[in-house]
Amino acid sequence: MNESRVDYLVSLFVDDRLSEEESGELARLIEDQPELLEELQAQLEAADMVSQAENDLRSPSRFLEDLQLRLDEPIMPNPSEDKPALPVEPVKPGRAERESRAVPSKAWLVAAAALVLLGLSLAGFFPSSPQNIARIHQLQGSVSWTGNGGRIERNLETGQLLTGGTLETLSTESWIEIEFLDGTRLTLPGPSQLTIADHGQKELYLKKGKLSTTVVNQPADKPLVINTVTARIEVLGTQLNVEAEPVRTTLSVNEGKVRVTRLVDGRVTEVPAQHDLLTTVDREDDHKPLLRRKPTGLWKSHLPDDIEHGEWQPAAFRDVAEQGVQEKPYVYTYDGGQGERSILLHLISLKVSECGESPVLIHPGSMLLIRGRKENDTEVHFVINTQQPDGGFAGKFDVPVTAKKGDYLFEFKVPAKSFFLSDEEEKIFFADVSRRSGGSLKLTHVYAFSLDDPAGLEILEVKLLPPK
Amino acid sequence: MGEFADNQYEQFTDLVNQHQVRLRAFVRSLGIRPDWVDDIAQEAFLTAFNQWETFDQSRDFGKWVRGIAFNIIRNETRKDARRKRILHTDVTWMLLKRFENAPKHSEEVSVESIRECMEELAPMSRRLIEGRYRNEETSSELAERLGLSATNVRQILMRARRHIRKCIELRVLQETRS
Repeated sequence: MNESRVDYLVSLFVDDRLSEEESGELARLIEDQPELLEELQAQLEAADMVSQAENDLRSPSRFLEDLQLRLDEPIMPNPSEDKPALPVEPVKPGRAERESRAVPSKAWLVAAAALVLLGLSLAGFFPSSPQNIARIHQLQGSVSWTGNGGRIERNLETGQLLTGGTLETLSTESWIEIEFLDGTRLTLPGPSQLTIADHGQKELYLKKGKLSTTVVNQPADKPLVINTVTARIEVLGTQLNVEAEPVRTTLSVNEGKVRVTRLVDGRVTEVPAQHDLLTTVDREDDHKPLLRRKPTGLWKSHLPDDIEHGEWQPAAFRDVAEQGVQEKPYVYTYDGGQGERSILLHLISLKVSECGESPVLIHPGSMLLIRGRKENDTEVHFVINTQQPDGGFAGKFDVPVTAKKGDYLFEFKVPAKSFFLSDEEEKIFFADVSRRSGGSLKLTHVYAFSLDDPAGLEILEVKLLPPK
Repeated sequence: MGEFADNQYEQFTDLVNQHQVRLRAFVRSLGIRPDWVDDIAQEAFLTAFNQWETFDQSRDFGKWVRGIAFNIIRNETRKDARRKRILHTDVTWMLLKRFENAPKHSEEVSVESIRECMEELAPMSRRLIEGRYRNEETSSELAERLGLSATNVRQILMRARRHIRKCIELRVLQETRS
């Protein structure tokens, strides 16, 4: 048997592409030449290590989360067919003096696993007797809270006190603002997940989504720490926004100075006010803060780069020459007053500006132009997500639009002043909110969706025009 | 079971974090199908968690949890063929026997070390490794995309994996010595 045949069989085995016949051939070869086992084992081992390093679905953090989810499941294989999995190594007796143990709560282990992964000390992360560390200042939509002991709560109220634990804003329409006892405020627009703790030093773990925070002065030796999968951010007193995605963290510092450690290689970068920083897992990236460009009131979508949710249609239109983004189902959970409800949205979500780009400001006199196509007369909602110009969540504003019958290729002109805060009992218009922020707000996202029935919606282009 | 103190939770998750890369690679090296590797590694950690009281903490946790995984995989070979998570029973038996006869001590590995080793690869090897393991393209798909034969792709991947493994073991050795 020549070497290339052996290599061929081993490589197919590693790829799980070996036929039954070839598997038998490989097994016979190994029986004849047991030294082949070493090569096979090495190949399998290396394949798995590379997969762990390259495949986000197999990342260490993902593995730890999945492990936590299985803690409540039966661990041992069915005893009727399998022997219990006992350690090979002999076990020493004399355990009586040890403390006995119980299954930890899910919330605790999620937080602990994530933070251990980030190389943090967990000592005191969750106090043994729960202490209130923050209060809910405002909230909207569906928000879940997992406090100490793993109790999940969804009926949260303004003014409610919180211990250490995990907040989750469950949909694009939901958000929560909380205030720590020292006045530090943070807003979590949905969908995001954040673990909070304060044991003399505030520690946050933003697992996913966005966080906007205004941090009052912290002791010099105990900065507020925001951890994400890719970065550790230390803050003494400032206003900043963070967005955490699986392989990158975007930081925008509005005031003060922030210290960021890139976790993949420990590289530390100081980010001054009015600068943005992108932290990825790419060591080649120079990890330098970018001076934020001057704000603009003019914006035009760049598809498919701006798509956050939706199906990119490169050349899908039969009667439209342009490319566009098509709606995709999205389950939206909200509090309907009589408990939680879920509805199906057919949603397109576009990001307005990325790290290092000019912030886009929307004024009451601005005009949103949306060109697209829809297949029927279902009502479509356009929603804009905004932040305060200096950071901080401002609101999600909605406007329902119905195209004229047969008006399937449309160009809607939506004045900013016609948007109103979604999910409020009383209509609060865009102008009322923006006035409190000096007249304009930062536009971060544009959403278009229909409820229940798909509108067959496709967006070709979105433009924001400044006031005349 | 009684209560698990906070510092013990921390200790356990810390151990999971330290040993998971090597444990998962070990599971795969015994001929487990790629899609089932993490599942079995988790079973091993969960068993370790539930049997924590029996573990002598002065001993090597990595070796202990690998022993648990070993037994789970040995049990797997007894299942009906259609329910198996292993690639080939006979091959796995030989791999298990090899490990049983010569269980080796393995130092822990970090994902960062693996990535550093991958950076040493030649550009084509790097592209193929990325395509295969990050984008989950098959060798045939990679061959078509890059204008190579599937056999050639597999050969380059074999060499790349050899290099990465050697590099990792060398790094582990250097770190242990220092």
